[in-house]
Amino acid sequence: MLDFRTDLAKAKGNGSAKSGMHHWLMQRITAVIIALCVIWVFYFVHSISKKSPSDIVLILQKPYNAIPLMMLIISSFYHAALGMQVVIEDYVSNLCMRYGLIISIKIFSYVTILASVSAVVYLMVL
Amino acid sequence: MSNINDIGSGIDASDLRARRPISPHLSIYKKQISSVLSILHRLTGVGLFVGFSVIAWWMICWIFSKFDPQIYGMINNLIVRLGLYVLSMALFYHLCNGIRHLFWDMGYGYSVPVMRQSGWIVVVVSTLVTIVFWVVVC
Repeated sequence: MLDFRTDLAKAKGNGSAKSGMHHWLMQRITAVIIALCVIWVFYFVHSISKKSPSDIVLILQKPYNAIPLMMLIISSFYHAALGMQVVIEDYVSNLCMRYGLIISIKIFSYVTILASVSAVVYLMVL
Repeated sequence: MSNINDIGSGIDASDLRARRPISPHLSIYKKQISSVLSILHRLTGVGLFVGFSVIAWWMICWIFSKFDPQIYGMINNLIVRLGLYVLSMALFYHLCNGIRHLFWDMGYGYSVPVMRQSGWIVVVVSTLVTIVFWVVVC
């Protein structure tokens, strides 16, 4: 087995956090879910185009629209939080700033998921 | 670059650390289909996060304000329209290039000519999908 660890990494002795594989896998799983949901997006956008807001609400209330929409919201903001984490880890070298940004973006993403899903549920029970 | 152990000799260590090259060195490379599409994937990814966050909170406000027509009417704003066009382009590019990434993850398409080809396919297909989306679907 090839040893890919640098001398510095060995000296620091921090080791692996064992969370990289899960991050990588979830990024791909959410990507596939989003890609499948985009097929529904084409149908959905077509069905709401040139419709009045009240008609759009009626269309959104249908479970076959509300459920894919919620799936799309959850997987896309989860996917975005994972992706933003990678970008920040690559370009923000100040550790305080790096982890501050990552945590802020994760909290923001999860709050957005929560608020969006509640909005869709609110529509459905209207 | 010479041996890594020779670099520090005669130069102040902190000065060296401050002048250490920082990735990515975008400006010194010749633009290639591989590098341009790679950075576009990141750029569109960040853009999609920002754009869809705005759309999500816009719709949340619209729904929880009991369907305020003023909030809904913002869709007719010219800048919002332009933003939606750019966002859709970014979405379909990121989607197509993301599928390309998934093929790489499965172990396909690593040879340089195939990588270049699939890159151009992504450019063409994402442009076509954007046009179809606005002309046919919307």
